[in-house]
Amino acid sequence: MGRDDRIKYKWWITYGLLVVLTVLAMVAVFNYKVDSIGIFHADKGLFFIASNLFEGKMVAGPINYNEGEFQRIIVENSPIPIDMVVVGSSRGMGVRKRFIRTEKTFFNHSMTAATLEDLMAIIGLYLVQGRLPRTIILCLDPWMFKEKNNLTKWQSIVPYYKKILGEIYGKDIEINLNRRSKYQELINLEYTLANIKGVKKRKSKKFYITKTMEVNNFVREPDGSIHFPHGTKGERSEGTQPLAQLGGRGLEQYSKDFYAILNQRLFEDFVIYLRKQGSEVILYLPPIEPIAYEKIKERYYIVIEIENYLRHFTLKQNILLLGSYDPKKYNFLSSDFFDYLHGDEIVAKRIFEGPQL
Amino acid sequence: MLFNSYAYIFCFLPLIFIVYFFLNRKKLTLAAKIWLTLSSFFFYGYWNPIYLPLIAGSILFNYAVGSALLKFRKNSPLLIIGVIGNLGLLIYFKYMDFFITNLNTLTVLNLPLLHIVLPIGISFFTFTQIAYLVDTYKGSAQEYSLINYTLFVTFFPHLLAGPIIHHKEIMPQFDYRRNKVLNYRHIAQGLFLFSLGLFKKVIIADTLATWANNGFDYATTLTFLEAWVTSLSFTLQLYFDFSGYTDMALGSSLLFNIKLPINFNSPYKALSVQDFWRRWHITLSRFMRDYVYIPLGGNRVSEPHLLFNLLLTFLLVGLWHGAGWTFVLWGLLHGGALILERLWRKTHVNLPRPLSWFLTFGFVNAAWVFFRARTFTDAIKVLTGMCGMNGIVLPEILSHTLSGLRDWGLEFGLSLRNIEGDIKTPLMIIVFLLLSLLYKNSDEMVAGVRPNLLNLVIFCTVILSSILYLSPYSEYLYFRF
Repeated sequence: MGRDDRIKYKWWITYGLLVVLTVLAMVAVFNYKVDSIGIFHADKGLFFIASNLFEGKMVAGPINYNEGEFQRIIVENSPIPIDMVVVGSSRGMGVRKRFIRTEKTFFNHSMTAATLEDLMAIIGLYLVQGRLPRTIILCLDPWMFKEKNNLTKWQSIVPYYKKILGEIYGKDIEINLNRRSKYQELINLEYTLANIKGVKKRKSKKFYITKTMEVNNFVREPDGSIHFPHGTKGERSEGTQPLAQLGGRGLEQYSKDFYAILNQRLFEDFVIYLRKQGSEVILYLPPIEPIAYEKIKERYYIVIEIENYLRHFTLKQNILLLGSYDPKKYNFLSSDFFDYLHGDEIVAKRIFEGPQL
Repeated sequence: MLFNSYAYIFCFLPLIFIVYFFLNRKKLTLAAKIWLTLSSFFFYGYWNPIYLPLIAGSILFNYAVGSALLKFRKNSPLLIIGVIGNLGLLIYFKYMDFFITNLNTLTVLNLPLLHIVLPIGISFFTFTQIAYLVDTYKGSAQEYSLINYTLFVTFFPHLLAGPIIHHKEIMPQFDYRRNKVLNYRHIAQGLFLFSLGLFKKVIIADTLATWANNGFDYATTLTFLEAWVTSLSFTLQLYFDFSGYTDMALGSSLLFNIKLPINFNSPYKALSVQDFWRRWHITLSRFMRDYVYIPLGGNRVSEPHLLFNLLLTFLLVGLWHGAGWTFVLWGLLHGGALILERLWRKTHVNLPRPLSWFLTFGFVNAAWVFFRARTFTDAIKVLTGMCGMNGIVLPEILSHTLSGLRDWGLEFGLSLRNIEGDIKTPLMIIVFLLLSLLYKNSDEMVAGVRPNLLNLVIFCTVILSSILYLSPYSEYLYFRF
């Protein structure tokens, strides 16, 4: 390679890297500034939701916001002490106060794709406030027993997870959450597209108060529980069958190489700690759509093992366990689900209507 | 660490590159090698540090056996110990549960499964080291330095998924004086190759993965169109995924002035199964030829013996890819096809090239179904669908134009519903198939990389779209082998 060639290649590399880095920097600045779901800046919309829920109103809007941050705002600003909470994933979002025979104040903190660590972080929020709820309903999904399951949401409440972990095990605990940095979203195409849409829609209201569930959006009730959009439920009219045929897909992504119950110690220590602090713990296992459940059972026997383990654990510890991953135990049909993981109103209602909590 | 991760692209690779050439510039060549070796360990352990002692132990064992082989030339027992040690490790980690499952099926024993998680890249670093021991035994490789040997095994671009390298083709490159200074042409070619690989993996393979996964793993039944989209998606996914990975490995390595052997040469252009294996995973084919097929007798034995050896070699190729009967069957299918081809050649009847291509591609595509399916039931599901035994549903959009086909039992509706595809899905598959057949492969493209504006635009477009599209949790299909 001659000197001229060397210089040409050198300039080609320099220009190439310069263009790439400049474009990436521009995309990053754009995403940081627009930040449509409030990853980098406080989202005023979250305060709008919280304040209206506190006033007893229902709020409709998208769900792609920082749910962890939203839960923090709820716990820190609630005008009354909350006595009973539900913590879980989207599969626990349908647990409503009116389904439960209780006089206690109630809030459902379920968050999309939550892990055990996320559940602990929510309780950590209460711990920092100096008052744990009297009753804690842990809505448990099988994937929560997979260590390092790489779910990266709800970065903003990680310190509260650390707080409760510190309380359980002592201060010098090493934490390896293996979570994705929020700064990766700066050069994420999906987030860029969301922000481009966000810029277009900026003038229209993202969240709004509603008196009816018949809107094509997520609706949050004052008790924190969520109604899925009318459109989502509409899929049921074509029959649950096609969704059920894909059964286990939602579970699959969390179940890769999932052979053993790996978060067992963390879970047990967490429950024992809560009980020592005087909180009553109730476990809730949300059922899976019947066809999907059969499919999952074939592929992931671990799901049955987890339920057996939880039943054994609750029996030994004298803890109330409600629900079952197996829909047959409560005679649920495919039509009681609007997709393969999420039950309709009747599911949580039937399970919770029995006991006085 | 994944090549298609922010950590690798923005932190690991630039840092290793800068420090390596800085140390070489200061004439600290040993320090540069140590730096590269330690970085490679970090690269390996970044995913799961628990297996660092395993790879370190494997390296020490093979280095000790290799050193003894250098001392006591042509010592067969030593070589046997070395090979058994390596295969023992591989068998324990990769095949133990498979063995126990089959034992439990055949006997009344009910032995518990060990559920051993497969250490990443174990098949690759084990084969690399077996090759080294055999080469040392034959006198075609010698390595006295532990640092050099460790670098040879762990050099991060090839560590996790190959190419499977030979000592003599890599290690001398680390000692060339000219390779210790920056080579701008290599850097440009390396960056270009890396960007192509990233694009193949992130944009093409991951897109195809959705339909392949849905069809193989989740759908309970597949219609004709769905089954063909499923199998073709996987056929193309595997090629773009693995060749994309290899491009990134070769590109990364080229930044350090190290040329790794190529692994793919447009395999789907092959006109026979034999031709396919000269183009697909070339370094594995080379390994199996040199260390299994030829030691078994190669072409020097009687015809029936040769055919048996061919079948045995491909049975092992199948097993190498995974501990399962579907992999065994896949290997046997390829072995059987090679035998048929060999017998056909004796008839001296030459098929037209398009027909040869069609038969070869059709066979390879159908055989991949067994390779991908987790169970025989899943494989049968896809194959029966491909034969139209679960009905034929055409897109609704064609219902007016082709309404007469209803009389033949064809239906119109959501033709790709079970795999969550839409009208764009078949079009994309056709585009990707044409890309793999008609376009230059990455190695050909890189060989012609000139520092001009067109290549600059291609590079920037390809790398930017790939980075913005990065999926942080995608995994390479070949890591599990």
